[in-house]
Amino acid sequence: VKAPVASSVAARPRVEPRALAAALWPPACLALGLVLLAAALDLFASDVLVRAGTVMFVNLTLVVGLYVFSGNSGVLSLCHVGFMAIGAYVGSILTIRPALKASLWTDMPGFLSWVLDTSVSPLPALLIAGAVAALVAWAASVPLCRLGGLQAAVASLAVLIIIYTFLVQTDAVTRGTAGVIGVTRWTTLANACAVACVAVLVAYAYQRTSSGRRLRASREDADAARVIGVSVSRERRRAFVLGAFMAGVAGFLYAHFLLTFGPNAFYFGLTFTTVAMLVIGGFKSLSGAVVGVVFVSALTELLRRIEVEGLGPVSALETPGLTEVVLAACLLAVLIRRPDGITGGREPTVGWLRGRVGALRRLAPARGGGR
Amino acid sequence: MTDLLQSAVDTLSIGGLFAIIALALALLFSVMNLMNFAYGELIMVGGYTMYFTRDLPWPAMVVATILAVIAASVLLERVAFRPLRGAEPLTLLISSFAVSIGLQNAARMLAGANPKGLEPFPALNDVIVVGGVRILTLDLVIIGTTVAVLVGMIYLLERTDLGMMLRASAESFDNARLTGIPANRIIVSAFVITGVLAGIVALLIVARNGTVTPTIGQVPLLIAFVGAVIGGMHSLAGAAIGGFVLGAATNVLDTTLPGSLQVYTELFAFAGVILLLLVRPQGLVPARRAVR
Repeated sequence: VKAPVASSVAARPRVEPRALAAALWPPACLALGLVLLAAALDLFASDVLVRAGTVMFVNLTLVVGLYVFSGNSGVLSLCHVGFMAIGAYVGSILTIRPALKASLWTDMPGFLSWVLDTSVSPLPALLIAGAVAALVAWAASVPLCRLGGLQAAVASLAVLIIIYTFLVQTDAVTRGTAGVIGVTRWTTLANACAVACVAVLVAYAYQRTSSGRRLRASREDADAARVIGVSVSRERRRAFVLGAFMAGVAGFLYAHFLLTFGPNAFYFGLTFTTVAMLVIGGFKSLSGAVVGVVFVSALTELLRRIEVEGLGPVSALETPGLTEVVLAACLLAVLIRRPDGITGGREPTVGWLRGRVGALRRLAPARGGGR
Repeated sequence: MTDLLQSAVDTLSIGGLFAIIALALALLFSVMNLMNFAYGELIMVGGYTMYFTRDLPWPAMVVATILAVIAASVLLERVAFRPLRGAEPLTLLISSFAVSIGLQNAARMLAGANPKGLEPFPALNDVIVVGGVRILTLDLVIIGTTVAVLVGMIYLLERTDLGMMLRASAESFDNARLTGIPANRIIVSAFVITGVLAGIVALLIVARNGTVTPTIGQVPLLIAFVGAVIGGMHSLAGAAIGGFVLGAATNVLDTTLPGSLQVYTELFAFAGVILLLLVRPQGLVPARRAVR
């Protein structure tokens, strides 16, 4: 009984040119905007800004991964930064030169020693990093995606702490708090932008699949979705794993940008930043995720300058912290004043679509319209 | 045997501290669905107040600390939580997460990231010997204070009008309002009470550690929080017991597990939490009311 009901929910819309254009417009808008931003940074910006821009695209890949799960399901995940860490470690263990690896990992357990002799080029390593993160996420999703609301948030926090504890304590494999050094630079502005654009396109494609639509239906009303035959936990798991893949890829990018990193790069601090980006932009739409990342990155860069150089009457600060304080205040203000974030859960089509729908309605009032 | 007794005293004192924090978290959660991540930062506020008043006589320091934490607690309610009253629990959680990170970094900006050392109660570092067992006076004071606080909380909740209103609100906030219980007063008083508790915990933890850092509240909060979830966030007693058991258990595991496993204590604790959330989402001690 279940299957036909579910498939009717997911009925594929007929492909008409206009519908196709409507479908391609938002991701094209977003990707074009990102490419233009990267080009502008590349042409006109200082080295410092280019670095900030690169980090922004890395964060964008991560936040889009978080959005794929949390945005579509309405369930908060606090552990995607942990999957990012897994991608970072796996990716750099694969790409570091074998000669250097032998000296960095002297206690590598026997069953993993083959890793030290292999050398993988960046692009396959990026995919493997994402895949391993997705695999761990798949295991974690078994308990996590059965929970909802607050309990899911708490359990995902537990997953983050477990991953962090593992990274800190398993010196033989992760080098513990000493961290990983000697990673080769791969994440340029162009590479980071390209990967982020792919992530945006994949995320948009996903949310338009029948699976993505079922998940979004369950976000609005989980019980109603179950009644019409949606397996909420299965749809959540798919999005969770896809999002974790993106987070793992973001980890690969971040590691090949930082070149030296430890487990602390992937803990509460970054978790807070990514949640803030998603919520400030508007967690219900992909453009919310993108706008949030761009907005928060710009704000962060501005505040960092104030921290370092001072601004007018404000003198340079001895210790960092201003960025987080202001970001926290922004997040609070958004939660209180505008809970759906800057974009209010809309995709960039809406103004355009609304015009279309309005025109259609004027022509044929009975047919109505809507997405 | 004497070793065992010494570590038992140690375990009791740690467990007691976590029980107080877990109780406070459960109280806030029951009354307004707030999973308060920023509670650890109230402990931090208390710690820094102690640091800045360390030259005053100790009773003045204790009073100043508790007053400062109450003020911080009530201020947070006004600024960060009252505007969100009635919002989804998840929204409140994100809000308290923001407050937590904001306060930690504000402390880092104002007081520096380095630990500030202080010895608030030098007299408590004496060791007394009871039947061959060497016991730190501080541990006894912590245990005594914990017992006093828990008894005081039971008295307050069971025997006073305020306690009855608090319990009624914890069981069903809307119904409590219908019977004429003043909502604002109840919520503010819950923040005052949990503020007092945070102040006491700050005094004891700083006396134990001897230092204050911007992140002093983070680990105690996480452990107590998990303990409260295990015990049951809707049951004040359950949460306190959960906090005590988890605090004590991590201490026991730290001392008894073989070294190679010891480092994974937190890993096992949090894996257990996930399992428990699956099997008993309401915690080991369920609420006395019907569950949605």
